[in-house]
Amino acid sequence: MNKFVMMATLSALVVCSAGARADVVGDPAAARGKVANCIGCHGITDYRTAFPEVYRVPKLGGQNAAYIATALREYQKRDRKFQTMHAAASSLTEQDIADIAAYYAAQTATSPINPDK
Amino acid sequence: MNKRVHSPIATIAAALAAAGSLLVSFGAQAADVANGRAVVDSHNCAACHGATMNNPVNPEYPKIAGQYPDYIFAALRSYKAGGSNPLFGRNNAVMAAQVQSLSDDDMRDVAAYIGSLPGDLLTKK
Repeated sequence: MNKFVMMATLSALVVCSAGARADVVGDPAAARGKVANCIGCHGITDYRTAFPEVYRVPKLGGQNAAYIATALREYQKRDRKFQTMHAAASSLTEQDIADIAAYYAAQTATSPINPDK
Repeated sequence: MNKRVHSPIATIAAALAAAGSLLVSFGAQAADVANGRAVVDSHNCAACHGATMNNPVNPEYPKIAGQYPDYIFAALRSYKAGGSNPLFGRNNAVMAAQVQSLSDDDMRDVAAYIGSLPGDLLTKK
């Protein structure tokens, strides 16, 4: 099969399978009190994870909200196998996920620091 | 000031520094950004992540321009490992297909190139 057609088909499948939570609306302000656990790693420039490999944890500020939400659900389900994020994501509700995703997506170079941090 | 270049201490220090850089180089070889760009083009990453790698065609996909290269490399390797790896694998049909033919060096080069691009991503509390 043409590689590009295959990619487009797979992409379409992924998009269709991930569109079921449009009813939950994320609120960045509501996330201020929910991100203490995130900030411990993702709020520190150049912070590195230590296991199973050493690398800097990703920058989340300015990232797409839908991608962050998808990633958190994948950590919950272990479609992404990473113990630290599985533990961090396991207790989150769909509303928590939407709020946290909106919180990071809204960050820009000039946005204020979280007053509740 | 003592200007002797070959003092024993300087020699030992230089040897230690060389050994240290050798050790480090296993984890962080100098990446080939030009090869990274060629791989990004040939694998059509822009089809999903956008022409600038900062403007994905769908919000389900991440912005990756300016992301930490070591994280991008770790992510690419985890897609290649797939869901069967219990420690760091990722299940993702599209990305697994994309990276299957890439060597570790290719993935390091891709990570270095994408990480060098300007984008929105930042770290903030």
